[in-house]
Amino acid sequence: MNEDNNIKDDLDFWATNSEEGGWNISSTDEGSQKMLEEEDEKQIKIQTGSDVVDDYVYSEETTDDERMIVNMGPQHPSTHGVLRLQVELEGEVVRRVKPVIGYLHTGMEKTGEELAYFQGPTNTTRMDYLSPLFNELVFSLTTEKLLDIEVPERAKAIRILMTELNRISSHLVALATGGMDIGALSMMIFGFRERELILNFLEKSSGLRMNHKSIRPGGVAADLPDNWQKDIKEILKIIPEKLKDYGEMLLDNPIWQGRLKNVGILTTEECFAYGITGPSLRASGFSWDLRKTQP
Amino acid sequence: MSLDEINVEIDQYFKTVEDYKKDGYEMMIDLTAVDWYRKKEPRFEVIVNLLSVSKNSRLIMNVPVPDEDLTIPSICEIYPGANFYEREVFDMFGIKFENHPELTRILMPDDWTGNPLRKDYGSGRIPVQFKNAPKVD
Repeated sequence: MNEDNNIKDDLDFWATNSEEGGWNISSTDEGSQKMLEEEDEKQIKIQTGSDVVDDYVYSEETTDDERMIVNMGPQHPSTHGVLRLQVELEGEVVRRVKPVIGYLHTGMEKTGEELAYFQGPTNTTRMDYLSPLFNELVFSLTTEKLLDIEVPERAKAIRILMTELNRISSHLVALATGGMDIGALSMMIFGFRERELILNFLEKSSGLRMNHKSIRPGGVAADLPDNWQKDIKEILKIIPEKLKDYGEMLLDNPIWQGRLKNVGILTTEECFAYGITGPSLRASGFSWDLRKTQP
Repeated sequence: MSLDEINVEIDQYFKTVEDYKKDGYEMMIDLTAVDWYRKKEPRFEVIVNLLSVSKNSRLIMNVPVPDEDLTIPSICEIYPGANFYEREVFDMFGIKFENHPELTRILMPDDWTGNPLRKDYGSGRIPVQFKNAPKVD
């Protein structure tokens, strides 16, 4: 009994210690998430998605029966995660979308506030499971810049080697899942097959297939394994050949072309307005590559 | 590539951003806030990160927000991409943006109380089911 009280005191301390009031302990006591017994109309409206503010001007030919608001997600096979979209449809045409993105929020920044610099990469590596090494690298580079730490040349080389391999594997998954969504199912199998080669190497050198925590402030966790040159040579032999095959398979494919050409066009002005960079900006016809302009 | 950092007063903020947009800073890359709890006055500072692709330069703008009224003009009219960033800052730090088209919580649930990224907000002590295993005598 006494112990229970202690725990309760602890919880109250953490809850009341913040000036904002924090979360309401009584409703989540002992971990049970209570459902609201009565939900007012607004709450239900928000949950069922009829809360979209209507500011779209319709053409006069469309009748009311052709328009509808559909709530898509938060769990939907096409979203690769949890994302809720409130979509307004006119027949088969999507007129407006309102994304609700909070479902995947994990509070990494708040977690990071309590970690030491050396623990940081453990946290940041979990932000993206496809290219974890990049998040580690960015965190390490920032920490080194703040603390004026110099990194050995060999560690720098290993970092670049590992992140480049990671980039290839990440792009292969992008091709694979992108192909899967568009209908090229065989691309999915091919992409994941080649990614396995790279993951095997990363596993050999860092111990884990993902979430490596291999790049740390000050250098890397461990040296490359013996005979790493042999593995890299094999990867470099296989990947370009396969990529050529994929190019032939996808780019000449009429279904692939039909589903991607003239869909979702972004002009350069739109990219500027919404702060879109990278491949999307280049695809809009503007020459901008961070690797060349701001190396 | 050049990188400039400037401090802007809050009443000059909207006009300064407008001027920089005319001056060739086409993109708003980032908008965030810092909580200098008990370290600096005023407590909150909004940081805007602009990029000019034509001049190949970046600009970092620090805007202190007065404590008594946590309100700052919204720059959604100038850069539409600022919409979600401002909603995030509102959600995480509780800074209000004037003339924002739809200022609601973006990451946390709508009925949440408090602003998680403030430094005085306790972290990670949510009661967890099955945390304390029952004692066996």
